[in-house]
Amino acid sequence: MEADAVLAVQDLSIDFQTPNGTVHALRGVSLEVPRGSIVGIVGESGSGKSTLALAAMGLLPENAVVRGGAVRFDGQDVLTMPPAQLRDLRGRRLSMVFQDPMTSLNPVLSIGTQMVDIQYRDRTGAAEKRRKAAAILGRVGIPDPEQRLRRYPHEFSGGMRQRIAIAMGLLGNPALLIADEPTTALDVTLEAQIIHLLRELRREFRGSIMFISHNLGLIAELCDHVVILYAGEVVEHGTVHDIFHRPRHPYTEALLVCDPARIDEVRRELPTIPGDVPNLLRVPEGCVFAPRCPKVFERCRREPPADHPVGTTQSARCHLVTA
Amino acid sequence: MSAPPSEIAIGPPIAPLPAVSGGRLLRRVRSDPLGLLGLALVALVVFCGLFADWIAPYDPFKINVPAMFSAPSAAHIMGTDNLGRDIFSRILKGSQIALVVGVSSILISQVIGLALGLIAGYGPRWLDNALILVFDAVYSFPTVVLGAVLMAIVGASVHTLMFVVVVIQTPAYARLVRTATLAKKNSDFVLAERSLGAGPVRILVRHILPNIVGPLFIIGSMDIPAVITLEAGLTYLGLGLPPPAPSWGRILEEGYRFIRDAPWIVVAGGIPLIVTTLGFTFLGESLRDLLDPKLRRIV
Amino acid sequence: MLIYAAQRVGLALAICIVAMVMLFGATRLLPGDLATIMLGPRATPERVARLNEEMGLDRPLPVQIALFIGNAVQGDLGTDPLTERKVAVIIMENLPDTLILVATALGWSFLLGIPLGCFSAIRRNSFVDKFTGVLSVGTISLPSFVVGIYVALIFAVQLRLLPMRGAGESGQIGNQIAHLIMPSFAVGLGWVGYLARIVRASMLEVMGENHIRTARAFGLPESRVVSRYALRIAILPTLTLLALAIGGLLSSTVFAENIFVRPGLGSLIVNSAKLRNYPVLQSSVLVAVGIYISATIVTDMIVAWLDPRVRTAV
Repeated sequence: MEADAVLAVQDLSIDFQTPNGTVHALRGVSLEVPRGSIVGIVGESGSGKSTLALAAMGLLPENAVVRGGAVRFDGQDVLTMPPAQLRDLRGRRLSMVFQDPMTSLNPVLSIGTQMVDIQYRDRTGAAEKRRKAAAILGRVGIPDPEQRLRRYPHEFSGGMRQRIAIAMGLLGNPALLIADEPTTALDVTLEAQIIHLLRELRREFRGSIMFISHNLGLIAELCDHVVILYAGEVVEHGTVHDIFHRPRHPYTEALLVCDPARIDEVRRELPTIPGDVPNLLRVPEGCVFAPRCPKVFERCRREPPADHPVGTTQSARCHLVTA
Repeated sequence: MSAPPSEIAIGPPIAPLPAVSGGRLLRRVRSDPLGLLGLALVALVVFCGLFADWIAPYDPFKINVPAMFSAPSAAHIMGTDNLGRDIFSRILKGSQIALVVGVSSILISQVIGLALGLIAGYGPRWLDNALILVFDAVYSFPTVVLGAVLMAIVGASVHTLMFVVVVIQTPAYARLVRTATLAKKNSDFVLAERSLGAGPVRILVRHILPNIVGPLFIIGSMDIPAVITLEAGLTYLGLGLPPPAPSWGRILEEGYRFIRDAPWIVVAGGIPLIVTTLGFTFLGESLRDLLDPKLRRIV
Repeated sequence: MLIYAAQRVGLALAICIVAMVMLFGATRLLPGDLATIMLGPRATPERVARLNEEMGLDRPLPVQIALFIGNAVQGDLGTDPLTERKVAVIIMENLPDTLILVATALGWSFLLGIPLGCFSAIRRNSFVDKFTGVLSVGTISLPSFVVGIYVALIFAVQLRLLPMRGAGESGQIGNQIAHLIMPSFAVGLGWVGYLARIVRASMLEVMGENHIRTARAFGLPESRVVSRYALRIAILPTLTLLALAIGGLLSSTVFAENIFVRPGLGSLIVNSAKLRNYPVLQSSVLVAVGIYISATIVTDMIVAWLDPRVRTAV
């Protein structure tokens, strides 16, 4: 399986040093992104999804400490790679689309300049680079791309900017594109357009996508595999069919129940998961979801559950799952 | 003339001023070694200014021709000048002049600036625009040049010098007050009070003034070295306080004429200026973080 | 871009006019007949009449200003009552030295200040950073004339390394440069520290922004990230301050020209102020104001050119 995985996160644990103490953001996280597939990472705020994305790119902030594990891209650990080698990967074999289109592009350089800069490793001339940039801008749905290359980011709307960001991400034909909540900052219509765009692009683009979101509906539309992240741990993963039709972890079940898009009957109140995400300064003993789990029992509070496989494609970290 | 005036006093409008308390001030300064040094130096200068008449070993004005051009010695710590006057005593007296002129002119500028700023912020738009235009026009004169012109027109005296400082400093304070006033004027609770019938004076006094006084105080004290330097500079050029007032600028000016034969005069004249500017600046730096949270986050 | 330029120039002209009103208005406050005072000991009835005619001193203020502007546009800034020479000529003789001094001082401060600030930001809390920090704070507030005098004392009087007075022999570049070293140092020192601080703060802020993270995410080399992506934005505040710098530098050059006995606009202003030579004083002051305002416009234009967001904001 590992040979087929473009990205393999192995037992990754990351802490953040903050003025209030050490935050255990990721604990023993393992997942794989097989070649040519789209893997969705689902989690609420604070689940560690962005940390995971940044770790995969080797872009963790200064106060992050890797306590253990590895992030293998094409077999090589990104976290221990020499910086020059890592830099060589970025923008070419491995690229990222960030959450906020308003601040992720340089405001004083035209998008043409930025897109040509990314191709700095190529031996081709500037004209050829501009042509490639215009071509891919056209592909993501920017009208009149040759003219638009000369424009500046602030001259585009949020939705357009995110398309530009996706175009930049795909420019190097990467093996893995990490999309960190690319539609969260956009309104629903734009969101639908971006998802539609990604679906179209996957037919031509032979790389993998790691799609991070808190929106189950998007994940269901776009992804092949799903990883559920809660408070820094992977609590369940499987194919999209497994997760949406046969969820085994109580958190996954609760997420599905609470998803407003799936509610069939008319009721007065929307269902929620009671309680709050735990404070990661002090991680509870036992199962991390125990304080909020509707199916909790005594063992859950004492003993952290192991990953129990379900069939060949699914796995859940819960005491309730027996082989 | 010293380089840039306080960035906060002259420059683009800043965000609404945060509240400042004395306790926070002291705590902040104590934790910063440079700030402590600044505080010590400022205290030294203030002490000299207050007690100059008692500490000075000689009468600063007393001419003593036989002792002229004496190098520093036990009898005269900083030597004597071209008229035999004890330089150390003159320096001490000069600190008094510097502080009195500096502090009082800043106070006057702040009062006038407060009034103008409140009017500009609270009054009609055209008045605000007109005042801004006048302020910008005053800014467009390089400081010393403005000082030179005014002194030439009005004639050299202490009052003229203070007038010069007031003209130069007032726009800066007025701008600050104007910004704060504008910010508050449109805030929700002011609008609420107005709908309840509160008049402008009440709003000004109750809501705007209390927030401004603290920052104005801090900014004013940060401006003291600039004003003292301006006074010394103008006097050095011969366009400031007339002799025999022992302003530090005068000592420098007289000393410069004899720089080859009696270099100690010029050295002595420069020291108090350096001590004063460094002291106030280190102290001000320490305190300014309280005013500009953005800077604090970065540093 | 053009509209922005027009707006800035219009505003600047308005400020100029107000400055003129203030300046001319102030001189009219002098008691007694203005022309007689201006001419001082050389006042004769014919001269008084001629001066009144030329400068419109006995007419209302707006007329006086209009006359001045009308003459100035034709290159006539009045006549020096003491030497009977045209003020415009006198100013043109003295202006180049001042401009050279200001430019050299600016050059010093930018060449030293920007790299220091940049380096301090990249290697935060290193020895260089802390040292630069203290040095900056110290030099910012030191009076430039004290620095000038001390430098002159050490290098000219005690060590006899550098010349004390004057601008040097015309035609001899080396000699002129030797005469420039001390004055430009004295004038520029405060700004090295100031620039270093601004650049440091600005860089730190920019480097923390999301688009820098994006640039790194695409594997761009760090040197390019710093120079093309970060510094270009971080420099903008320093340029805005450039105009303010020129104003402060003009003040400092007045002192430098006095200490080092250099010819220049500053000396002209000081000497005419002492002698109450109002025609020369007025015109030189207005030239100084004009330079300052022009510097403001030019830097605003450069900022607008470098930061496209500014053009649309106005």
